[in-house]
Amino acid sequence: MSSLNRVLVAAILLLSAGLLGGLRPAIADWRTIATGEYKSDPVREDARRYLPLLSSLPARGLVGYLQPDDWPSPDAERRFYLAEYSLTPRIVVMGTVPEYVIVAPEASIQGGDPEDVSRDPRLADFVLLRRFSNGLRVFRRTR
Amino acid sequence: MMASLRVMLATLLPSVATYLLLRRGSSRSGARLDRALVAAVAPGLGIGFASCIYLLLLHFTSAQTAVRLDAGLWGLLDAWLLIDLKRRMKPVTGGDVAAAAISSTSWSGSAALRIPAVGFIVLVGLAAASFLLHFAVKPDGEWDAWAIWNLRSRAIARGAPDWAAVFSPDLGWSQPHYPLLVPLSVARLWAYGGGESTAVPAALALLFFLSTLAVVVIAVGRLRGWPLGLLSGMALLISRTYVFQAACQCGDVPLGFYVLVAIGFVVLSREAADPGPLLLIAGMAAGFAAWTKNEGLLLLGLVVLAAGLRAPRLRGLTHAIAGVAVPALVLGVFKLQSPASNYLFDQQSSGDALQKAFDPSRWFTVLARLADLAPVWGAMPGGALLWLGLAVAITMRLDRPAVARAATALLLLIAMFAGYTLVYVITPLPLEWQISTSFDRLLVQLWPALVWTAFQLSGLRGPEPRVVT
Repeated sequence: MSSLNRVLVAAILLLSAGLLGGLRPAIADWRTIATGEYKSDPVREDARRYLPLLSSLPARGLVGYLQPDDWPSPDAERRFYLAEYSLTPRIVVMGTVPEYVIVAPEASIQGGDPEDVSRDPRLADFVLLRRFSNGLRVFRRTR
Repeated sequence: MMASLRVMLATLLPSVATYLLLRRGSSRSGARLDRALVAAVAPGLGIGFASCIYLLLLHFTSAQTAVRLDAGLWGLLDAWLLIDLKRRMKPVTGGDVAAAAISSTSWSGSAALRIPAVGFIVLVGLAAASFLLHFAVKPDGEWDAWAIWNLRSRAIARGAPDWAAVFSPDLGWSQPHYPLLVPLSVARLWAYGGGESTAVPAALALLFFLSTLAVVVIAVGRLRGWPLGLLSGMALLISRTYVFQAACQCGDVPLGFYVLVAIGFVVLSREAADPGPLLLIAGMAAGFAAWTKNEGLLLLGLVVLAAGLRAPRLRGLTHAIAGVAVPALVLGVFKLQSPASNYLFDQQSSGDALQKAFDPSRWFTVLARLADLAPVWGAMPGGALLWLGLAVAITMRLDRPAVARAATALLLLIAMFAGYTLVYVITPLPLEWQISTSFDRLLVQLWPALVWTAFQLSGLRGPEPRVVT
């Protein structure tokens, strides 16, 4: 086979392989954009929901995160890591050891007015510092 | 607009300085490095140097002052190197391995060049479209990008000079033991741009992706002919997994760039009259690989070992170690400063790890799983390795230097893969989970160097090769 033919065959092979592997996912991404689904990207949405908390948390240091009942479901894990991602340089850790604790709606029983003590036994030593319109709450240790 | 310009400036300043530094080094030694190849490796190496300097600056001052100092330092270095290079540059006679290339003009206009050029452009277009579409859908990148890499970039950008949020062992699941080349680079570009645009980590990922593509095409094209250089670029892009990982904004594509440069240059140095400048670059790339991800430490050891085996040993070793010095120093400071330890060693005793390493059943399990996964790697029908093998088989033309080159590179790649396999064998984490969640990315790290290696075995009878002098 001549050099030209060898290059031609190899190029056709590689082009076919590249199109076989790459076209379908590119089209899928294009469809996601065309249908507007990407606006509801859960990463973007979940990351945003922590932003209102910034004013109620210390600028640095450890912040607790109350483990939701469905832990470690993929959704629950994602929300925890997104809390870290959104709130850094605060270090978000699982549990109620730090002075400030973030409580997601799905993590604990709701109810009570601001300053009320939560009915959740894990928050016995905490008072509600602030409740946000998206259901997130920040508690602060009293003892 | 101004922010974009400042980010571009932040990328250009160290890239130009690194290019000029490498040109200066090669002109001083009398060896001649190919300009296009140096231009292709300079941005990746420059970004690496910039991350080291930015880390040191952040230790002493605020981010705002660090940016000013950083810009002034790189600007001065660029100016000095430009003036110095003009003064020093003189015509170099004779060819060296990096210059002993097939003339770029010998294929121009031929169908053998036009055909792969069209295919190359189509696949580059598809990869670029995939990258941009993925960015539009997931601007923060994939899970590891925001849970590890961009998280750390934000911690540096918002927290420095307080490093607690970067090094804290409390961030255990976010791998605080990972080195900082990528997060520091993103934080530095954000500091220049004055915000935390999600376009910055994506642009950095794109830069490493395109640099890798350029190095593969130029390094194969110069040695084996431009039609094959373009075919090797196509081969790199056929793997959907590789293109996807570039868009993910994680550390594996940058690491793959450094693996390619380190292995490529250490192999080329074996044929060079003066291996010094090539080993210097190989050392830099190996050092930055270790500064990107822990897997790079293995490459660093292999490159220094390979440099030591090449006569004259002391000269080769000196150059490789000089290249490794800056990233290794910064990595050493990072490892001393970071209280976070690697899961391999803090979740089990050394006795447990040793016991696993000598357990034949674990080796059998790991090797059997890898043998299942490797042929289908690439997220494409048939697997990327098959298509690469077919393309090389069709264009194969063996000559002694090319076979020696491919054999040496393959040996280094096998050594790296063996190291990865050993880590699987001794891992304290669930074996199946670890392999299934990391194997794709490990091959992404080796894929560009593997493509370069495979195409060393290709060759064409075409216009008579001419040594560029």
